[in-house]
Amino acid sequence: MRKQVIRKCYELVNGILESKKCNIRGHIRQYSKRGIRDKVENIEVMAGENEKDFEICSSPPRPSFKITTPSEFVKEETVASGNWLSLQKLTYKDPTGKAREWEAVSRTTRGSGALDAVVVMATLKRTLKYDCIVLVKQYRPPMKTYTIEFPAGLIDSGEDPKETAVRELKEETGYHADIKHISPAVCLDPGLSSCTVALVSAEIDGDSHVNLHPQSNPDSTEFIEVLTVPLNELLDTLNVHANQGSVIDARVYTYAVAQAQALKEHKLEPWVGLNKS
Amino acid sequence: MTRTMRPFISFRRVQYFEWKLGIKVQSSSSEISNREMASKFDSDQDSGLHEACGVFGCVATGEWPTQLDVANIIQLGLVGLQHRGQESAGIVTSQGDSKYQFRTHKGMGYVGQIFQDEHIIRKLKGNLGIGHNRYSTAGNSELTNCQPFVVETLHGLIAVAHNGELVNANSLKQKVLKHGVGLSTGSDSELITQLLALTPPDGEPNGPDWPARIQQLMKETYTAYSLLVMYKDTIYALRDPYGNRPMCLGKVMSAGPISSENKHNSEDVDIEGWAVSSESCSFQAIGAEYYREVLPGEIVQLTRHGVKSICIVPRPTESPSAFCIFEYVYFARPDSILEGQMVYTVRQRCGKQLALEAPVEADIVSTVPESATPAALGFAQQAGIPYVEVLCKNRYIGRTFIQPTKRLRQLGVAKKFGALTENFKGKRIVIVDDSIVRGNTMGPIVRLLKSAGAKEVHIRIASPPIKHPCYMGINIPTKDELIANKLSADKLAHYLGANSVVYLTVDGLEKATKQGIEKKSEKKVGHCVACLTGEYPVKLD
Repeated sequence: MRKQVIRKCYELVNGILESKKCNIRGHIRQYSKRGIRDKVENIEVMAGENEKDFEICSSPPRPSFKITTPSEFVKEETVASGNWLSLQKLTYKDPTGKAREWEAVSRTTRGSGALDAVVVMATLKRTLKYDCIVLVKQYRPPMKTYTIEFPAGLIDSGEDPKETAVRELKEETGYHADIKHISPAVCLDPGLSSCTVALVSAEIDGDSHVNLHPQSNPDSTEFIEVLTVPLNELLDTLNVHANQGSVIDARVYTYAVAQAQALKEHKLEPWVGLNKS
Repeated sequence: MTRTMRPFISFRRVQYFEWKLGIKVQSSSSEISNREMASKFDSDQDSGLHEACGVFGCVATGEWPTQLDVANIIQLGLVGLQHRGQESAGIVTSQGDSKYQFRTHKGMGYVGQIFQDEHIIRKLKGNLGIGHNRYSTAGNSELTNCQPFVVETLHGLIAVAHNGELVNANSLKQKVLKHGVGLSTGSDSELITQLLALTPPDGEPNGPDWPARIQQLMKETYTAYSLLVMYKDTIYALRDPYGNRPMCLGKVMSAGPISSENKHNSEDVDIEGWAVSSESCSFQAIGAEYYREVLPGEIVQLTRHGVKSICIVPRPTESPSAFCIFEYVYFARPDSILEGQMVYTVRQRCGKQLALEAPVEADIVSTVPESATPAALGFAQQAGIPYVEVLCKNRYIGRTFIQPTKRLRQLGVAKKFGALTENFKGKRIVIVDDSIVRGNTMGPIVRLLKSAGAKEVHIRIASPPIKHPCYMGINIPTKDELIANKLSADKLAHYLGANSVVYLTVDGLEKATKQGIEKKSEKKVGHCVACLTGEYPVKLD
């Protein structure tokens, strides 16, 4: 008797959904002795043209894809090697166990640690001036044009990433910075290379006399222009540079988008109908 | 359970008004209601003289768009000028490239409250701007009266910030209305703005000629105004030919060396911008250096390239300038520099002069905290009597505890001060104050001191009695309310309960003021003492 009631309920529901050309598949749990308590589990509502009779399924649906057997590195073979980079052919196993190949680039300069380089995100803070981010503009042969990036540098052997960050910033821009935060090793272009960097957040005390007139000290091969861009104009400035032909580094642009979103005003209107002054 | 005071104006009503006026007052409801009450009764509570306004402007030099936070600098400048006006404030900024775009924010209340929200200062991002603090002289506290005014003219938008009151406002208003211009506020600052919008008599063959328009304005009305006019990428700073209200220029330097602990050479520091302010006290807050005063009648042009003096409009007759002497006596902050001398020094000299003119046998010299301290110290120094504090001020009693009856009002004064009895028990005291207007403050204080054990209380006022109204921007109570008009000095002593009351003479005050001013041979330096003597520098309407 109760099962009939339940079935009638489902027919009703199905009828409603049928009018919207849906099928219901589901299964009923056994009701408890205390009363009719049905919970329909795992209802899949599928839109479709055909009207099917209501089916009570008992098997659970197919779960979403989960990695059960992880991919694994098998071996690598150096195909070519130069002064700074080497090209590898890697073999690895995919989750189904099949062996696959990949071409990859890696740096020959990596020291003992897991990091190739540090990238410094330095904010210049001066009293009564807007906070500015320090960026560098230089010619990058692979891009065949000028790029705008964060100051960065390869880690010398045996050097601590913090020291590298302070040294590179001083050499490229002339500013003395205080390191605030270091990220774990993050990858740059993982489909292409194995290069990892540490993203170092730094603050430059622009009021201190050592930072009033910064003098950069680059290598003989480096020709670097320093840009200090106010954070509240960063995205617009980058777009202007992009229109002029420079290519913006992805990390810099991401940072600019995040800044613009953070600075966006979320207006709370406590009284409806007021004119904004 | 503490008894809370029921708000004079209910919260709902306040909300309705705020909605109607389109403003969001940045304070709680109880503060609003208390302030409303305060404006009704504050005239009895405090000295009664109200300053008109303060103006501040800043232009960033070097490359535009600038990295200097101009909006923040103007806000800090206005905070430094908060003593000149607490009713409302406003800032107008511009990027300087467009004739048709200004960013503005105005509000009621203290500068810190109005610009509390970070987004507001961020929205006011610009390369130059002007700001204004207002204390209403008429009691009309409306957002429409808040300055700076922004008006569209033939050549684009201008913003105007005005300190002072035009003496011929009525006749000028008739003239402007006859021209066909409509006015929307009752203030004469709007009159100035409309006059600037009129085309000058020579026409303008070479495009907008703001100096010519300003000169035409200065010929129409001679006093009193210290004005900032912002157009496109320029700020014009001008003082009326009589120099009634103050104005000075400052160099904005990189503020770094001031905030950091390192010592610096002056060569390291670059000029980041130029600032103009009613008083020089606000320059230090923004890392600026006092540069010079704007001379009476001078029009100064501030741009990103620097400061240029356009011209000096002369006075119609050979009369001397008329700088408001009450700036020295009472209004200006002691650290401001006016006419090349520090206000504190002038007040000290007034105290010394007072000791010479009205000596008295006494044991200690003291004052009502805090405005008359320099004068009291000067008096003590000159008379050779030690300066001792006799009153302790409760700085947390503002205007929120005002009661409507006379008895309670005077009790309110007593609530604000406590007697440091051990300092003066059985002694003869000289109390030095900078002015008596209504006499409501001094009476209760004398009573307080006498009941706490003072043997004699002698009052010495470091300024002459105020007998006449001011039409130049100081809100002095009506003739009837001025106690100097009702009682002479000796009768006043009896009324207040003091043993003697002596004022500084007008000559004494002028002598003390002029002592520090370098004599300039061509122009005669003078001060407006109209409220003391009744002789006005200009013919009134």
